[in-house]
Amino acid sequence: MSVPPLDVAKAWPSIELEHGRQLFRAQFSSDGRWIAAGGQDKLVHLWELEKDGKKALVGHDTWVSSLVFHPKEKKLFTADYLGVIHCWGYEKGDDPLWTIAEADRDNVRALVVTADGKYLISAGDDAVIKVWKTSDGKQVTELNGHEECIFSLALSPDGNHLVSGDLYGIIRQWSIGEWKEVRQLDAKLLHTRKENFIADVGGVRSLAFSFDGKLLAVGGMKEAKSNAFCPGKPTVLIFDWVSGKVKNELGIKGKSDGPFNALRFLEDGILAGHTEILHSASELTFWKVDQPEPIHSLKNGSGYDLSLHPDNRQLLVPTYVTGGSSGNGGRGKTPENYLTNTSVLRIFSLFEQPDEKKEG
Amino acid sequence: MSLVWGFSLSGQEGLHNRIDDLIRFKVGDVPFSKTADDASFLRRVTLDLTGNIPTPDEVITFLADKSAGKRTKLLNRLISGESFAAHWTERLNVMFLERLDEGKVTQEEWDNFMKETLRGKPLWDDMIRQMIEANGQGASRAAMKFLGKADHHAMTEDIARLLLGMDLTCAKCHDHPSVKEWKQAHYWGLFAYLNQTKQATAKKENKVYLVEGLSSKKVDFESVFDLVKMSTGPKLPAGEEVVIPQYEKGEEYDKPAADGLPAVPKFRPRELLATDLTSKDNELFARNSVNRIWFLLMGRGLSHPLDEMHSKNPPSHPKLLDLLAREFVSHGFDLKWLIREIMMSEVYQRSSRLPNGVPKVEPDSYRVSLPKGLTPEQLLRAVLRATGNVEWAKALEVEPDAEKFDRKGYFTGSNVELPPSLGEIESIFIQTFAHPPGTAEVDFSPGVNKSLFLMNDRLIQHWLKPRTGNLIDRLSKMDAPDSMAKEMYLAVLSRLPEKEEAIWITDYLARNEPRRTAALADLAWALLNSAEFTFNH
Amino acid sequence: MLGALGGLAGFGSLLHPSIAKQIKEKKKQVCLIWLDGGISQYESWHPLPESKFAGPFRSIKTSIPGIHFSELMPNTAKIAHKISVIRTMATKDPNHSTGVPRMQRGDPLDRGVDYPYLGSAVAKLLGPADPELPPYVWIKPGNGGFIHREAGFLDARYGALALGDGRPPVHIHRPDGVTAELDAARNALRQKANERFRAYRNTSDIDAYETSYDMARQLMARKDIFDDEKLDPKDRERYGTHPLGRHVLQARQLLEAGVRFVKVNSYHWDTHGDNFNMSQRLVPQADQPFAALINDLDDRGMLDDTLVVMMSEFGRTPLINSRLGRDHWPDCWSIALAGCGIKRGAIIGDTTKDGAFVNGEGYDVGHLFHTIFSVLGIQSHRQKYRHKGQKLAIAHDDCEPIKEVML
Repeated sequence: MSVPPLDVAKAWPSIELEHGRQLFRAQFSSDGRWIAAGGQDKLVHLWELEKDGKKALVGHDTWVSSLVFHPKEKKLFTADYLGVIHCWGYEKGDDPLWTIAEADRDNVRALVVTADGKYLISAGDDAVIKVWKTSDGKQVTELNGHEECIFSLALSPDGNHLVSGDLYGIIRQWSIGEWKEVRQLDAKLLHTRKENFIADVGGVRSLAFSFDGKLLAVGGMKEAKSNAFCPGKPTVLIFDWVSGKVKNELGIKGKSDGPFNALRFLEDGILAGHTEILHSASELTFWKVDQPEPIHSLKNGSGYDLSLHPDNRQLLVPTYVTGGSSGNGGRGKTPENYLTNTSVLRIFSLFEQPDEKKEG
Repeated sequence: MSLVWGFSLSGQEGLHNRIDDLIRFKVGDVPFSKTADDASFLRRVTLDLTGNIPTPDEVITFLADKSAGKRTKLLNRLISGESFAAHWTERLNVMFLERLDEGKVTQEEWDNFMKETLRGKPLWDDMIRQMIEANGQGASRAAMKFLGKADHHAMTEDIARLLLGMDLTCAKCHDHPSVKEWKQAHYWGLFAYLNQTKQATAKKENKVYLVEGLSSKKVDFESVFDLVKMSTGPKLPAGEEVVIPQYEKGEEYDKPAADGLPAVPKFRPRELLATDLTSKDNELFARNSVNRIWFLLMGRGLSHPLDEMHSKNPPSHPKLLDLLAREFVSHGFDLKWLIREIMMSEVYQRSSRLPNGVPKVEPDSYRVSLPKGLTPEQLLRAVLRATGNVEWAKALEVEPDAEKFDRKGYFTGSNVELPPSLGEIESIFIQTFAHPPGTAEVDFSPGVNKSLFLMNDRLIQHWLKPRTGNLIDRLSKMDAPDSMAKEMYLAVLSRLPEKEEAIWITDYLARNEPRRTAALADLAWALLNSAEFTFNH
Repeated sequence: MLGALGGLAGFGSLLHPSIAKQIKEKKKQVCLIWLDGGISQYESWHPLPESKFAGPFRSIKTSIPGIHFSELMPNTAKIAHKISVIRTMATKDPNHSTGVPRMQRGDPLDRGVDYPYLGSAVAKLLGPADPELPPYVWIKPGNGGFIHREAGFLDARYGALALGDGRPPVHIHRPDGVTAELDAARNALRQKANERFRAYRNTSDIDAYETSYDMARQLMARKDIFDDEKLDPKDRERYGTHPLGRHVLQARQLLEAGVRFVKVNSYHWDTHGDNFNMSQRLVPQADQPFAALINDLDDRGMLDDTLVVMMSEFGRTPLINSRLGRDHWPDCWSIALAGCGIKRGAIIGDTTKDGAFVNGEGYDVGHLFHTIFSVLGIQSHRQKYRHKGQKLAIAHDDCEPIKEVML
């Protein structure tokens, strides 16, 4: 089957996998046959797409906060808010292959695996990046330097560098192998702490390299108005990788007021990003990154992650679905009808919807 | 002349005489305070009519004037002056807007409207009718600021309180628990005049108007106590319920919607309220109006508190209140006429010193004049004039690109600069001395922060340092302590010092000879912080 | 030094003669810590990690076997045995603008008056604990001043003396160049002028004016109680150097000095968005100074006579919204109390298993006010205010003190 041409303007939601609790992370496996997702119900959920198979792995004691597939082997790494990392052979057994009991004193917010499959890298609340062997979970080294919690990690396509982004909007670049800090990039625009705030708001919530490694997209929000509602202007900074300077600042069309939780470059250089909003419709946004305005955006519920299928034609978004009781107060709800909010894993196909599908 | 009661009733015409008769009549044959001396009278009327204390020259001139009728001449001059319009704009501002800056009319626009009204021959009923009618047109457009952002409940409560003397806040939910004649129906009857009012913008001219929607049915309400459902159409307390006309569908409007403004209904209850409420026949309105004007001049309403005009709180002088109301109506609600008549009366001109040998009198007997606190604006003007720093204040200029003055830091201590403009100084005084916006400024309310300010604020210290032509400068150039005492008292307290006072000033200066200028400042400071200065007595 | 009122001058004039004798007895004092916006009960006193509404944080053991608080409150967990927590506040109003005044006024039956906030109420009902100090001081971020409004229908003198960012009014300091002697001298001149003016005049307004000067001078004389330079650096560390930490420590200083009622406000707790990242950073800011205060009062033998309350206007929704936040939840939420007349270690309130709803009735703010007044020795039903000829209840007529948390 030939791959249809990429056309984000024609993107449409092709698959919807509903789930009864809120999911915050969802990724395609490297062969595209599986989806893993995790969130509020502590379980690692797996869908085997072609077979319509579904299973849930037990092992985390709190919310699943990040997950990443091994690029070559049938392994999945998941982490949670208590700093536990599990490695799963997800096709076969239901128990973890190995476990790191304390990868962080608290939340492991980001996980990446190097392209050669050797190293799993984690970072989170204690502001220390840790490098582990994917084979057995033994620690290789740690990278110190950040002063506040790290939200995001990304690996350069040439395999040589790691970037990490923190709450203060500082990005640090590290060399893979030597494990030394090479450079810092300034994304402080994405951090706000006004005089009357009692907490820092924002941070570098997402990082993504372009396919050719020449650009680094950095996502978050700027100009947060408070540390209560935490509304801000969703913003992407496009860095020129060579010079380390910001080339462009990208915004949205709609009214979303939360950070860019996830960014992904597509093979033709178009960038996709997803943000969130309070009690309303958010959007999946696409840019040609030399222009601040999006070239296209699709209405969607608030979304917390983005995963690009290896066929480069499908984007996966774990999306918020309301349980019907949003807003303040119980307003007459009872324990019986006060239901949790839920999720749908929505896959957007980035090409024109074929006619036979349209009719149905 | 009647000698029935052993004292004279004037029997003369002139409202001011009849006011005095009724005051005397109420208490019978008891001692009254004398008339206030010239200096006290001058200070009182200058404050009441122009919002400032007199200058030393004005005091000297008035004391020296031996002509007959000089007091009445003074009254006439001050009432027709420009300062009257400016000052009474401030007083009515505080009374009607309570320092809130709501709605789409700016404070400046409202001030200009009031000043214009008060310059000529202000007719009270007209003024208030414009405030409620609020048609947003022409010269009286700014009057609509009274209704603010057209919050229905706020308008109902404000109109009841400020224009009818009825605090109906609790009557929203039930009949007033102790005042039998204030019923929930009164609240909702008033509400029914107002509940179609809303703001709308005329797109082409980009102006906001207060429009009315279609009122076609009565307002429903029920008491939280007995849950009986009731309803009412628009109805003034002590008025008739207005029958809401029912029109055929399609016939309800005079003018169609246009340019962003909704269609204009034929039945416009708020417009009706404007005329009904201010009508000559509305006794509640007339009584509340004269009560509030009496309060502004006398320091206390005949019915006090001002929003408790009901049978459980009878006025101190029911006949007088009735008389004033009747006369005000029959003179077409002529505000300046009423002010003049009240100020020509003996009761207004009475001294604030008790009658000889009388240790105490009831305030509402008016046997003695009641002191009033200076308003924040009066206080600032008086302090500047007393210390001789008016020119200094007027000369303050802000650099066009200067940083905004950190007023917050001024009050926390992080900003140690002097305010750079008179406007900023005014804001500082208002922040310290005014009631919070949305609250009535009626009774004298001293406060710890106000006293601390007058004692320790750097402006006060600054104004008491010698600077060309100011009080301390003039005093420090004098030789004789007697002249210094005289100049100081004239400037700060607007009178001549008594012998004893001149003596203790001389004593204090003698004891502080090496630091004479500073000692002069100490004395001036003491007088500024004294009760005599802070009261309009 | 003081005006012509003899024994009860300045702040002492706020003492009702009939309770003046309390000056000699052990004084009851109050510290109210107000977390404006709504602290999440799931991220503080009622974690329930097994609930489908739970957040991601652990629950930790407290000093009371079987009771857990959120891991975000480790200090409070250690002293759970000294405090009480009510987990079943059920208070109807989901709005800030009406809910905040409602909670701070106690919501007695609406009689068409503005009821006083709790601090003003206690200032009126008990008077100042020290006649030379203001009865009600409010430490808050932002501006200070004298806040009449909180007195409601009570005389404005019962309002709050607000210290902006914990700083006293700048005018509490004598101006540069004015020594104490000079200040005394010029005030003597002022009083002399007033004496002359008072003669032959009705004096009640003049008295009120002089009283405000007496109060002002009392504050100036005792300004050391506002001087946080005197605080032990170790204490500052224990309470935390963040604003709420500093302000609660200053509250301790004022309580030690003898101020009857101290309120401390912290704002921006209304985490509709990013509730978990924010709670992670906010809750410890309340936990640390609250526990330090309880321990310090205990160490100083003051805990039995000082009531401490920490609360918001409501809690936060069990449901997690699309911004990973929680919205307002007055239906079932938690507050903490300790000290005067309060049981040690009573963690009460039966909720549904997931913590979203109260099983049974729950407690409204009226119950809380009856409780507060009762433990302070005020008869919460019989005591009335007098206003314009009406007798007004001080707390909601239909509510009762919450016996389960009272000694």
